[in-house]
Amino acid sequence: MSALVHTDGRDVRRALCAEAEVVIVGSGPAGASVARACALAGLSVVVLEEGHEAGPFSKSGFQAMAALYRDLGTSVAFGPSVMPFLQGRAVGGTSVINGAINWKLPRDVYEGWVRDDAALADALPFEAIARAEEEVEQRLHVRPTDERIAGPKNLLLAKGAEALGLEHRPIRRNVRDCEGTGRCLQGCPTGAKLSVDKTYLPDAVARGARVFAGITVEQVRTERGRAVAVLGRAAAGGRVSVRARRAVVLAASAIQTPMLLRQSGLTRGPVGDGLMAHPGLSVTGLFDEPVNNHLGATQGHEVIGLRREGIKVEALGFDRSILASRVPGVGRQFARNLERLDRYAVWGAALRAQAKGSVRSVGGRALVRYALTQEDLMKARRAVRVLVELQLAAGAREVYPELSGAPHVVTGRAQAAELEARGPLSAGAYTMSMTHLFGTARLGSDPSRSVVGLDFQHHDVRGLYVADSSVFPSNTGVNPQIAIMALAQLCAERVIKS
Amino acid sequence: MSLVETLRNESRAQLRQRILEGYPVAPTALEGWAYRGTSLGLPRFVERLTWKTFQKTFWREPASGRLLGWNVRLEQDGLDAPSRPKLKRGEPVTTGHYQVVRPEGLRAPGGFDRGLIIDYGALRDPLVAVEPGNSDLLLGVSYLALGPLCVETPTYFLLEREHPLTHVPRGALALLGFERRWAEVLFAAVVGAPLPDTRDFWHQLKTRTPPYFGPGLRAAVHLLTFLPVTMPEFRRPLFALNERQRLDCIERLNTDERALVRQSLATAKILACFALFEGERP
Ligand SMILES: Cc1cc2nc3c(=O)[nH]c(=O)nc-3n(C[C@H](O)[C@H](O)[C@H](O)COP(=O)(O)OP(=O)(O)OC[C@H]3O[C@@H](n4cnc5c(N)ncnc54)[C@H](O)[C@@H]3O)c2cc1C
Ligand code: SF4
Repeated sequence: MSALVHTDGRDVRRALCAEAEVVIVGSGPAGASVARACALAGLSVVVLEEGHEAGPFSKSGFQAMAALYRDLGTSVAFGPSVMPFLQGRAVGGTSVINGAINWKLPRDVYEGWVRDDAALADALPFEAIARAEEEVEQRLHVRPTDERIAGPKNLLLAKGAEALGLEHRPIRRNVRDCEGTGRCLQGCPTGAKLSVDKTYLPDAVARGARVFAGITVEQVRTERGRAVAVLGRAAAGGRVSVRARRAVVLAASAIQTPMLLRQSGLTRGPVGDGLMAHPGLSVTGLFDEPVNNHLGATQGHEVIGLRREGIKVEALGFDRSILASRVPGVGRQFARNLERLDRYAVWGAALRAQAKGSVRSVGGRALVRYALTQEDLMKARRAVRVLVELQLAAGAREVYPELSGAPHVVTGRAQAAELEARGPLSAGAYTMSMTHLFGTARLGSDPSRSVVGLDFQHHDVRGLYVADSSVFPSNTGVNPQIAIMALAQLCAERVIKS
Repeated sequence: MSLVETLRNESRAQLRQRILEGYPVAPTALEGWAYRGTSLGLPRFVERLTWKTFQKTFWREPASGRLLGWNVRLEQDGLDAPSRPKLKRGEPVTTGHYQVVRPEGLRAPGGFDRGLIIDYGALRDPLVAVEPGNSDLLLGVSYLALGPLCVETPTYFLLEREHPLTHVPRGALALLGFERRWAEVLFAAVVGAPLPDTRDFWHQLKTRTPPYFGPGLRAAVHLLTFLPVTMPEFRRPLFALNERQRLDCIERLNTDERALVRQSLATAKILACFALFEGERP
């Protein structure tokens, strides 16, 4: 047994029963934050995680995805077009495979939440969130990317943004002694990325918390309006039941948390509705000099000047196999282009979309629906133009916008402007995917419009808390892990006081 | 004697009569449930060779909206013992995947069209409710549809509603062997190079992807394999072309602006790149 994992579900063939004061479902940033805070407060804690402990990390991008991503990264949302959404499934959750980018909750986003529900201002003051974020950043050692390990793809983005006069900066990352291997999205092979399996979970375990991996929770059991246990199944088939003396905390992500609520018969209120996201799109450029997109800090530079427009640009660092799929052409042309794989750079834009989708549980699996609005599509069109212009300004010889109905290759700014003016406004024309998900069990004072109260506790079920980004009243327009951890910390404070 | 016990003791003729007089079943009543199955009316020696108890499941596939299902093998603990699925690598062992359809338009023995049909292909199981409006207890029988012929079999079974579905087998709808070979031809053409050993690649795809992935990939592979048949300069499926023609064809398809072709090719390209770089694995 590892130092981190107390019980591995791959060995649990018979019924397993356990008990703790606080039972947490999900070991990602949200679950780990609650686990740490509760364990530090002296409560007994069990964390149940469906995935396994990460590592050793495969060099193959495909194998890494098979081991660490839910559904091998092939989960999709259905709508006018099929849009993939990515999630980690491991001890440490999505933090194991995320880009290590850190942002605090922008005040303008928070103000939007308060405009929508004034009671939030007293229950969750901005200062309390900011204080919690500060603590998280300290523990995760968040620092701007060191130029020495940034690598050309990040430095070129800085150059492009500078030339266009767009505000930009090195990304603030949660790493220590990063060697710039560019593999954050496949799991850091050197241990430099301070994902929660390297930080918050070991802190919790050191104070007595127990992590059960390889266990899928299927249901929250309630008795007389109170959450008393969770029921699940181990990877080896054994039934699992963990009694909660004080609280059950759902931190299984904005997709799986509403599914668990619904599977448990807790369907009153907008459970699984209001799914918000940051759909991302990317553009590839060909440079004359080596870029080595797969090396350097995975995501080390960002353009922040368009955040208020709902567009945030980041350098992307992919495994060579994924990078290859962005190389233009097929057949002989692809084979020729592949020979200069080291000269392609891929940059992406995350959109603060208005679209609201839904999550349902069908036969225990997620059925996600999501359709971009016209305004979102206009934003996407603009983002493509910005990405193309950035590439050109950074010195790209050719840029490939990957947009149906648009030129396959763009070489000048006039063509880039055309993409915004006349680019397609149908979702199917864009190749997008989602990595940040919110709002499916939202927090609020009005039980008809929210699922949990301002104390993170379910409106109808005492002792049942939701700690992950399901509770966010909206998307944030920025990378969410710090805000998720801060809110989870505040949720934990309520659990401790209860 | 309960109705279940009565049914267990009935002769094949009596069971057949019940099928002919059975009541309709609403597909929505089955959706999302596992039923405990018991084989009826089989001679003892056949029972020993086959499965006396099993589970049948009913699952609405999100992508297509089809009502699908599969059999789950149970440990043979006895007629009244609780269901205990047989496990392999921690997952229940499933066999015989099927689609559940209405009988309209399907060839079936006379009177076997009162409920729904569990359709395996050549093998079909008409399914009826034993009592009006009660979808908790169902009776089925198998017949073979061989071209114009319908051959009844003596395999009757009882289904009792057991519990909501807890497990959907991954790769339940994965590509068949010949489809994989088509896919490999397609992938090699897309990346313009031969692929390395793809066995592990296919295994991961089959076991790790959600159930809707298989049908989606199947549709893309079929589309790109057979689209060349409609192109005057090729007029054959992709796998039947020589190597140069395959490359010409795939390059032509890459200029096709139709969303379905574009999406299918994009899917094929990502998978082909994964497969290509699997060869780099230490
Ligand atoms: C590729 C990628 C890159 C990203 N990069 C960044 C970034 O750089 N910066 C940033 O801020 N954000 C990033 N994100 C988003 C960020 O990682 C997530 O928002 C964050 O991890 C969500 O935290 P969470 O705890 O709510 O959920 P998760 O981290 O998803 O954790 C939930 C955990 O619960 C487990 N679980 C689910 N259901 C069950 C169940 N029924 N039983 C038991 N366990 C269950 C899951 O297996 C998972 O491990 C990225 C996301 C992706 C996909
Ligand atoms: S760039 Fe490499 S070394 Fe640095 S944190 Fe990411 S995976 Fe680890």
